[in-house]
Amino acid sequence: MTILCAGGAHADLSVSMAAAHARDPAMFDAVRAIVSRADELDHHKRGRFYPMTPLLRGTTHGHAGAAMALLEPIASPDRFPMPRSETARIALRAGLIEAAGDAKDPNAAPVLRNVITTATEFFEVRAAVEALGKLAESADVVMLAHLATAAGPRQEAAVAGLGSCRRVVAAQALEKVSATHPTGMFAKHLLRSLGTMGSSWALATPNAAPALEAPVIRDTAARAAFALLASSTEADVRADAESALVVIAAPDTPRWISDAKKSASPDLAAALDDLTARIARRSP
Amino acid sequence: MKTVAIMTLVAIALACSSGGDPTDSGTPVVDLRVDNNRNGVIDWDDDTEDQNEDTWDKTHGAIFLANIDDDEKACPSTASTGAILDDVDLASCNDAQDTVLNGDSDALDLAPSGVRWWSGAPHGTVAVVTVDAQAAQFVHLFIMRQGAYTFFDWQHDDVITADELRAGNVTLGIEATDVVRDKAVWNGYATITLAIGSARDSAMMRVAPIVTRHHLAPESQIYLSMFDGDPGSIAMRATLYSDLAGTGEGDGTTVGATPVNVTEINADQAFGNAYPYDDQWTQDFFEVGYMSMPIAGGKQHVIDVFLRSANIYYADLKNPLRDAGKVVFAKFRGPDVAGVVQYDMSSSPDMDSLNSFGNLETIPPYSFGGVDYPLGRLFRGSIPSFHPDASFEKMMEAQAVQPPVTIDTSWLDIGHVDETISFVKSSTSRGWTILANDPALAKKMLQDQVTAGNGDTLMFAGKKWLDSSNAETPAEIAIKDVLADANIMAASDEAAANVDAQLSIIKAATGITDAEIIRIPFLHEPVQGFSLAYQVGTVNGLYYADGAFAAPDPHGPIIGGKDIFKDQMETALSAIGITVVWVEDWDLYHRLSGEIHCGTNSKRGLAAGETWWTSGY
Repeated sequence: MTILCAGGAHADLSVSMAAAHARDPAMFDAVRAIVSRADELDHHKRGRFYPMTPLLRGTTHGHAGAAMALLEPIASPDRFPMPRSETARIALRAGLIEAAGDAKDPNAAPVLRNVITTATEFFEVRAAVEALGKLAESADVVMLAHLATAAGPRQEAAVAGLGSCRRVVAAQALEKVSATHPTGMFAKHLLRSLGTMGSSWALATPNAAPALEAPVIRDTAARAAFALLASSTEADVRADAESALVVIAAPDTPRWISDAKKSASPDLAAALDDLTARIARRSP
Repeated sequence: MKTVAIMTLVAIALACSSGGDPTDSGTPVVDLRVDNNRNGVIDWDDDTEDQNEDTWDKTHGAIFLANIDDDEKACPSTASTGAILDDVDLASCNDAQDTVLNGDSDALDLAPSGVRWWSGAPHGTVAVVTVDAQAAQFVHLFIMRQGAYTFFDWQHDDVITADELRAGNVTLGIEATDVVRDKAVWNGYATITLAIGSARDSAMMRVAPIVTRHHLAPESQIYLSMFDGDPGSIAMRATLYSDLAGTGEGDGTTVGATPVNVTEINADQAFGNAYPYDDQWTQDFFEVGYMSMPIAGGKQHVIDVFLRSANIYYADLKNPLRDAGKVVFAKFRGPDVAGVVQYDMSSSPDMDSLNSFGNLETIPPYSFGGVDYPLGRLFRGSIPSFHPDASFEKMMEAQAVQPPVTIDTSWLDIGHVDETISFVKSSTSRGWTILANDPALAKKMLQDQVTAGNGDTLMFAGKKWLDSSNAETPAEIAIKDVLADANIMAASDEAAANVDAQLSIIKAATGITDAEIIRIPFLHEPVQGFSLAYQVGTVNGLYYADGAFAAPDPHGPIIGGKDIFKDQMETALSAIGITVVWVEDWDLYHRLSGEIHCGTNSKRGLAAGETWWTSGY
């Protein structure tokens, strides 16, 4: 059996998986059944990928060892009939990781770290960053923040996935990225991540973020989004910045708008007016 | 060159006894006639047929059709082995690909034209008819000789002879060999010139554009993929057919007789070893539009145009496209039904989902800001960094009569406009309105139930994840657990903001107001960094008849004996004169990222008084 993890984590993971399997073999079988059907399911996809994540979420919801069952095909791919098509492979691997992330099982961390350091496929890395970010272990958060701010093949995926890591360090990393004036899809990934991180609806759920950090996360995410709104000249990036600011609903946003309007170009002034209207329309 | 006798061509036959040459003074008669006044016939004695015929606008100018249907159903769709033809071969056959008439009805696809009788044409006179250089390769001329249409090969010295000029008015017929695909190559106009000696007479014509249909037009046919024996397909068809029959939702287990206005696409149909129609997303792989020209009696001759989606699934240059789209040519193309496909193999696979036609809708007609849009406007998800196949977009924009409105759908997992927006007829002064997804309303409705002490009530009761061939897991979940899920809340919060941004664009383009828009509540969940309807996407329904909307069953929480999401939608739509019927789509559609609209398609008739040539575009 190949377990793709380093050092002592390898043994720990093996133990965790074996224990989870002994407790709930049916769940492992259910995941295996889905893996074996990945190509067939991919054939029926409607968009980019077959929606593996909700399928896997639903299949393992409420099971104690869900993350272990979901990550077994990632940790030990040689034990599974992995899909042949590229889109099926991406959908499956990213879906397994994303669904495992929902379980917030610390035992999953070694697999996730391994994916982050070895994989380069965007959706897979994004999902692993998101899953590890949800665990929010301090050393991992620092590592993820570094990955998001350092130029490299995984940076965009790290930025896209970091939004689910509701920690100040992660928010500051995204703010640092926004200061580099990203454009195009990179900017859109950043803004979606900021929205996810600072979402007032999400922050209102139990345990979404440490209580003392939540207001700082919200302000930092909003500041980063506002900086991009002010600096970008791309209409759809500005629209995403507006959406992120609407979602975050930071208390200071109206004041920033008012200050920025004093020296805004006509285009920016129009965007700021639009943002004001959208904030006014927002439901709490 | 084969000729075909024309037995009955009343609509376009030009009587030699009418018009003609009343005063043959020896002066050359050089008079090319096209249907400039758009009454469907050539009027030899009506000045409106001649006035400003060398220009084209919404008041005058002749029209011709791309004769790309298959009137004799002669185009093959399978090889001798039984295998379905590849994409290139399927698309390469139609009536305009040869220079003969393909049956009597093919002549009805020709636009009428003619050259006036010159009884005194001197021996040796020749009348030359030409087509301007840009249009020449896209236009075929036919001439009536010995009672039959014959290809008029003007590019190889075919001329109208003195004998023909002296015999009476000369009948011509005109077809385009293709639709406009790229205005830089051909803008769709053709100037036909008659020359006799140094005298000239020219007339401008325009090829009919492809016009997509909107929801104010009457529904004439519904299409859906049929998976025999599949419980999900059975449940969907059973409930939909029962709804269409007006007998309520039914039990969802027994499929009644297929309604006359429903065409099933058999997903299990084998072509050799292949099952190309094994695709339940019937909305996505084709779109039905039309092209038309005036005919006698104030009517229109319509060719339905089935557009095949530009979904590129394979690297095979001869056979790259989504398999199910072959249905456009293999099943639908025929008499007065054309197939059109346009794609660019270099399109990004990451954006391929945008080429599905769940991402091509039509905003109904309106006027706003002093501009009329009598045919409505194309409506697509497209932004500079995430857009459909550029060559397909170019072709649709080249039709010119429905200027597109585009919104950002890049945040959606599927990326289609029909995930969040629907257009429906309404009893308001505008005549139509928007159904728009409202996650904030969904959250509020659920929060209200928690406040009322119903937080433990289940949503999705009795529904399952996975299908019957695998372990099924209950999908039901308590209201309070949904509201406590940070993933769902963040995705729904973002979806609310993003739908608001979509609506801002539509409001700016159409003038529709918030007060007019009907809010349809459902929450989203995150999937691989994108957003997907977590609850059933009830906005994604089928507007199948005046005042009737088939929506997917939301399987919401039952409070006081009622599904609160059904109740909300029924109440909201009744205010604009629409009755909601419910269709069961969970298994085959919802849990695979789509709903009823995604799983059906429709062909609609022309709206009352609709004449694209008067649109001003």
